[in-house]
Amino acid sequence: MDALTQADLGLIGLIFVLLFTLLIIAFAPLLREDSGRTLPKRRLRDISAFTKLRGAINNSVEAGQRLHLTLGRGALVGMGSASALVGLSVLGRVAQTLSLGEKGPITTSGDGTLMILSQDTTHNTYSTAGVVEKYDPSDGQLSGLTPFSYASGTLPFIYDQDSTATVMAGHFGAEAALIADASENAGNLTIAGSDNLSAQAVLLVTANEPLIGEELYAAGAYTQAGDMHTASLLAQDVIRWTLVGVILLGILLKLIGIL
Amino acid sequence: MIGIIKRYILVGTAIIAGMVILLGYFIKLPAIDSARTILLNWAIILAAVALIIGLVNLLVVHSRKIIDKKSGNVYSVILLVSFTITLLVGLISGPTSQGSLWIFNNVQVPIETSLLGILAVVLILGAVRLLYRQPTSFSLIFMIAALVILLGTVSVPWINVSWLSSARSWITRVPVVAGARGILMGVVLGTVATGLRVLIGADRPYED
Amino acid sequence: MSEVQCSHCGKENPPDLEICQHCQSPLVAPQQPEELADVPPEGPLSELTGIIPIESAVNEITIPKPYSVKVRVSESQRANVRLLENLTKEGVRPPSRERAPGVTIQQALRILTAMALILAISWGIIFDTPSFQLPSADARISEFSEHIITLPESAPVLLAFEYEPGFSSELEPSMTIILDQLLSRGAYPVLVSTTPTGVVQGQRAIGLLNQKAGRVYEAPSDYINLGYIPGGATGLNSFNAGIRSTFPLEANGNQVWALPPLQNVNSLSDFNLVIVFTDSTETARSWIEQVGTDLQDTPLLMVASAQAEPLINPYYNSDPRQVDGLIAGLAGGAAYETYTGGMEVSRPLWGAFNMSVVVAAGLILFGGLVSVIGAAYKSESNGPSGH
Repeated sequence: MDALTQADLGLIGLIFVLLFTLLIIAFAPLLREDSGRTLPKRRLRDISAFTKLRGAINNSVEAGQRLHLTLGRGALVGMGSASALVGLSVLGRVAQTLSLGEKGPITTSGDGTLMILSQDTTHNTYSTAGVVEKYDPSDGQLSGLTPFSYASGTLPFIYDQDSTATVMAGHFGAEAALIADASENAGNLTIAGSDNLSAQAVLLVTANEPLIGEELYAAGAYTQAGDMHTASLLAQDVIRWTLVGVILLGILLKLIGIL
Repeated sequence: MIGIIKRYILVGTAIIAGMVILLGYFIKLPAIDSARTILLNWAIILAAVALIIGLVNLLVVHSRKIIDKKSGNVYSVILLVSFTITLLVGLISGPTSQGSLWIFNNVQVPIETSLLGILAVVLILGAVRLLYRQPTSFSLIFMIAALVILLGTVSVPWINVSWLSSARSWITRVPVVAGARGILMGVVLGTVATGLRVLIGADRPYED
Repeated sequence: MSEVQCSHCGKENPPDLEICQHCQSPLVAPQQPEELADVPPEGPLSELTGIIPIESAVNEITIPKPYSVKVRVSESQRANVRLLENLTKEGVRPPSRERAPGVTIQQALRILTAMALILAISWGIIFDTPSFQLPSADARISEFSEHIITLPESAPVLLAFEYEPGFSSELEPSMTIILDQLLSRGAYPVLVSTTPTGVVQGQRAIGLLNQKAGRVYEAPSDYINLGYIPGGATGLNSFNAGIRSTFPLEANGNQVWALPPLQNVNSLSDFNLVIVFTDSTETARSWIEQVGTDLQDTPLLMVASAQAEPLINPYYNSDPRQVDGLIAGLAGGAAYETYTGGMEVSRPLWGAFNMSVVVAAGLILFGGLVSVIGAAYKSESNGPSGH
C-alpha cells in the first residue's frame, strides 16, 4: 500500500469528525427521558469520584461551606483547551447547586482566559438561579502563570478557605501533586483529573479520587450537564470500539503478511 | 427578543469560526486558509491580552487583600513589591538584560527547583501510601515498575546490573508506550467530543 | 379572688392578667352593645332597625384603650431566648482548622524523607568518586551529535526553550554542551519560546555557557533572541506560517531579519537545524505536529526531560522519523558529555543524582514493605467480618 498523502489524511480526518458529529446528534434524542425510544437505562458505569463529588456538593450546601475548584492552566488556544472546557462545565454544575447554599464555589486557574470564563460561568449560573447578588468577582482568581507558581498560588485557597473538598479538573502537569497533597493535608476530599499523563500518574498516588484516562471527559455526563454530554460519551464508546477493531484487524493483516 | 437574537448571534459566530478553523485544517482552499489565518491571529492576540488581564486580576485581588487586612496579607505585599521591581527592571533595561537575568537566576530558578524537590518528597511518600491505601496487585506492579525505572537509570557500582537497564528500556518502550497510547487515544476522543459539542452549539461557555 | 375565663379559648386565667396565658387574647370583658335609641318616626332611616344613633356614636368617640402585650416569661425562658438569639446571630461556624500541636506522623515522614535525600545528595557531591561513572553513549547519542557537527559555518539554527525553570538542572547540562558545539562551529543560534519564561531561560543558557566556556558570546553578533510566542500551539502554527510577520523585531525591539545569517531565512525550513528543549510531552507534540510537517529536509532534534521521553520515543522510532534526534534527561546529557568529551557539566551532578535515586528507591522499597505489612495487619485486626 502506498504511503497516504496529506490530502488523503485530511479526508480521513474529515470523515472521522463528521461521523463523530453524526453519532452525537443521533444519540442525543434517544437519551431524552420523554422520548419513546430510549437506550437501556444502566448505561453509565459507576465512577466513585463523581459519586463522592455529589456528596461533597451536598455537604457544602448543608454545612454552609465552600468547595474549591481548580481548573488548571490549559489555555483555550492550546492543547489543554478541552479539559479546561470540561472544568468549566463542572464549575457550572457545582455553582448551580451551591447557589442554594450560603457560599458558592471558589475557583482558581492558571490562565487568563480561563479565569475570565470561570468568573463568567459563576455569574451566569447565579443570574439564572436568581441570586446574582451572591456573585463576587474574587471567587474566580488567577493564582499563577507558570506551573509551579500556579500550584503554590493555589495552596492558600486550600488552607485558608473553609472548603470541604478540592476538585481539580483541567490541564495540569506534575505540579498537580503539590495541590493534591496540600488538599489531603487539609483534610479535604480531593477529586482530580487531568488530560496530561504525568499528572494522572502523580494524582494516582496523591489524590483520594483520581480520574484516570478519559474519565475526566465524562464529567459532564456524570454531573447531569445535559443529554448531549451523555450522547457524546456514547459516541466516544462507539468510536473507541471501532478503533480497537481496526487495530486488531491491522495486527492480523500484518501477521499474515498482507500489510 | 433581543436576548434570543443575541444568543443566535453568539452561537452562530462560534459555530462559523469553529467550522472555518476545522475545515481549513482538512481542506486546502485559499479562501478558507486566509480566513483561518486571520482567526488564528486574532486568537493569539486575545491570548496575549488575556495574560495581561490575568496579571491585573492578580494585582487587584492581592491589593484588596492588603487593604482589607486579611490574614496572610504580608505575602500579598511581597508579591506586589516583587512584581513592581521585576516589571520596572524589565521595562527599563529589557527582558534579557542583566537585571532581569539576575532576578531570574537568583529568585525564580531556585524557588522552582526547590518546589520540584518538594515534589520528589511528596511522590516518594505518595508511592508508599498507595500500597497502604490500596494493597492490590496493581499497586504492587506500580511500585515494582517505579523501582526498576529508578534503579535502571543509575550507575552506582554495586547496583549496576545490566538486566536492570534492559528492563528499564523494555518497560519504557513497550508497556508504558502501549498504555500511554491507549490513554491518549481516549483523551483524544474526549477532546474531539468536547470540541464538537462547542462546534454544534451544545456547549456554550461563552453564553450570557 | 376568682379566676377570669377567657372568652376566646374558654380557659381559666389568674385575675390580675390582662392577656390570656393560653391563647394570648385580651381578657377584657367584651362591651355589651348599647341600647339603641328608638328609630326616628320619619325620614330616610324610618323603616330601618338596629341603627346606631349619630348622637350616641359621637358622644362615645374616645381615644382607643391601649391593650397590654406584655408577656409574662420566667427567667429560664428568658435564658433560652437569649441562647437562641446568640445562635442565630453567629451562624453555624465550621470547626476551626487549627493544626494539632507538635509534629504529626505525616510531617515527621516528610522531614525524614527530605533529610534522607539531602544527605544522599550532599554525600554524592562531597564524596564524588570515579566509581560514579558517566553512562556510555549509544547510537542515538552519536546520531544527535552528527546533526550538529555537520552544520556549515554561519548556519542559522532555531533553538526553542520550552521548559520550566524548575527543570533547568536536568536539561542544562546537555543544553550547555550543545550550545558550545553550535557556537564554536560558527553556527548562528536563534532563540525562541512559547512559554513566558522561555525568553529569559534562553538568555540564562547563553550566560551559563559564557561562564563555562570562558568567553563571552553576545547578541546580535553571535546569536539572537527572538522572544515569546503567545498562544501555545496556535501561536506555533502562526509562527510556522510566517516567521517574519510573527517576529518583526527581536526580544529587545531591534531589527533582525537584515542580519547576514538571517537574510535568507523566510520560513522554518530555511533553518539548518531545529532543536527543542522541553520538559513536556504536549509541547514536544505541538512542535512535531505544527512545525515538523513543514520542515522538509531540516532535522528536528529534541532534548527532553526524562518524564517526556517515553512518549517522544515513538516519534523518534517511527518510519519516516518525525524526530531526528533525542537526548533525554540527565542520563542522556551525561552520555552526551561522555561522547563529545567536552566541558564537564554533568559530571559534578552525576554522583549526587545517583545517590539520591538509590536512596529514593530504598525509601520506596522499605516504605512499601511497611505499608504492605501494615495493611495486612489492619485487615487481620478488622477480622473476616470487617468489624
